[in-house]
Amino acid sequence: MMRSMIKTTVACAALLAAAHPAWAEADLEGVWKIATPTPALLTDQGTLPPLTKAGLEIYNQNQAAIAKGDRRSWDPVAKCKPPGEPRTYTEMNWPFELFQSKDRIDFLFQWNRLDRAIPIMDKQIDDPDEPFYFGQSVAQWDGNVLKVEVENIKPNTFLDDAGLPHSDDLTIDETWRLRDPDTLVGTFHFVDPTIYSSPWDATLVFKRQPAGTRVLEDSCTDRTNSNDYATIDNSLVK
Amino acid sequence: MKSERRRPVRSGLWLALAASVAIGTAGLDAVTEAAKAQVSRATEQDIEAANPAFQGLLRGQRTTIDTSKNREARGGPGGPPAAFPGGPGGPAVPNPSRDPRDFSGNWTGGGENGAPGAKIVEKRPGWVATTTLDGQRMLFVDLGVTPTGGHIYQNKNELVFVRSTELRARRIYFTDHHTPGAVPTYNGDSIAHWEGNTLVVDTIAIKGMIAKLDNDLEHGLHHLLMARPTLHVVERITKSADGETLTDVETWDDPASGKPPVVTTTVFHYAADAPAYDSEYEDGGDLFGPGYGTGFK
Repeated sequence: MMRSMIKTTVACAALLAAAHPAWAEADLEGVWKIATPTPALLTDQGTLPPLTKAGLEIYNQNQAAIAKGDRRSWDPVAKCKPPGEPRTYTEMNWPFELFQSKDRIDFLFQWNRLDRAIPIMDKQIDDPDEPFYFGQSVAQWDGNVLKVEVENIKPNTFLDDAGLPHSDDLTIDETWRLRDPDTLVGTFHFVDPTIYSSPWDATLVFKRQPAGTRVLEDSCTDRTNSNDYATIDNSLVK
Repeated sequence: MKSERRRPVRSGLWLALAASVAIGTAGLDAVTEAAKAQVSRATEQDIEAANPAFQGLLRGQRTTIDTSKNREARGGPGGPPAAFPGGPGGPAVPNPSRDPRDFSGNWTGGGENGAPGAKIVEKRPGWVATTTLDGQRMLFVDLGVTPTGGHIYQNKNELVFVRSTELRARRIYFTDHHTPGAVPTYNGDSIAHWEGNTLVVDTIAIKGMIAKLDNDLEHGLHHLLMARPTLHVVERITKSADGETLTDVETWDDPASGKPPVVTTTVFHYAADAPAYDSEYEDGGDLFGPGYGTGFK
């Protein structure tokens, strides 16, 4: 009996070892998709995030524009700019593929083939002289949880499709973990004193897609026929 | 003696290169000026109507964020920022795997090793805006022929090549059959199998215009291939015994061209995996249309 239990334990340990690389605390790899369409990001309490007066003014402008069917005047996504963080995870309810290595995590989105690459390091690199659509992120493992610090996010992005704004003060502390083998949970702790009166938290849940699911090639400019970007003065062409 | 690890080329250079080739003129400086001349930025009326959050961007102001303030607010680690892996004071770069079938890791190419064997296939007199921006961008970066390299992930189902220039992925699936009725895409429908320790990648259903660049920047784009539905590309990729290089021999065959196949070679070197960011290429599109981000400076 004892021998059988030991064998079973060893076998289970071997299976677990094979399930993910030795250096990773959890195997997050796979194709994932948002479990519930999330056009508007709410707090974990199900409320509108605590916007300041300045933040609410921008948000209301965006909401009014949306009501009129206008995105192009305010939403960079309408011009095929990257949706940013964390909006890209919810865009079009499309899947993304997650890859991980010892030194790096990549979220490969279907949306316009975007990639969010995160180095696994203990602190930020003081490198960029400009902000980025996905911000500047570093990640570390804490047990089975991947912790990500994000800063330096382009202020012309929005946190969701509904036009939740942010300033260049925004920082996001994220965690990524498996709730079960087929459920990936991302938590987001937003701090932005200019736009939000207090820190707030939101959670996104993703479901693993069936084996063999492919993340397809999407071209935003083709999809939206945004040919205005492709106009070249042919007098410059030799 | 261990070869020196290379750091990936920052994408700004390649953006400038892309502009140079797109406009089809010689000389980066002159091209950049010409490019700037046709950038149409948002009007003052547009800016006034925009949200304050990005009015500055619309005015073409490059925004610099003081990230140290953010770090202090977060109470995170202080002290000097981290150094690049493989750089001075940075963490060591791991040795490449010696497994000849393990291509995972970060690879750079270009420079003296970028597609030296490329031949003129179809020299076009001009560069006409008949494709979308993506089509134009794919000229330089897709189908894995970019000499700039990127990061490779590999598992039993697929090999994914994430380009360092603009952080977009090309997927190659380990299967023995193409997608039935594959709709043409910029990356095409790529499948792969092993012949010994050589990865053989077969690609069809490629759309848009695809370019082969040589090192002869002085004369701009010479190696231009217009993708027809008949274009078929076969790549044979091998890893060196020391694990330090990948050699990708590409055969470009378009029976409809009436010309013999073109064989080119791109060599990639194992490299430090420097953090990669997104925006330079994203805003490079402003060259072709309304200025919306930082664009060219």
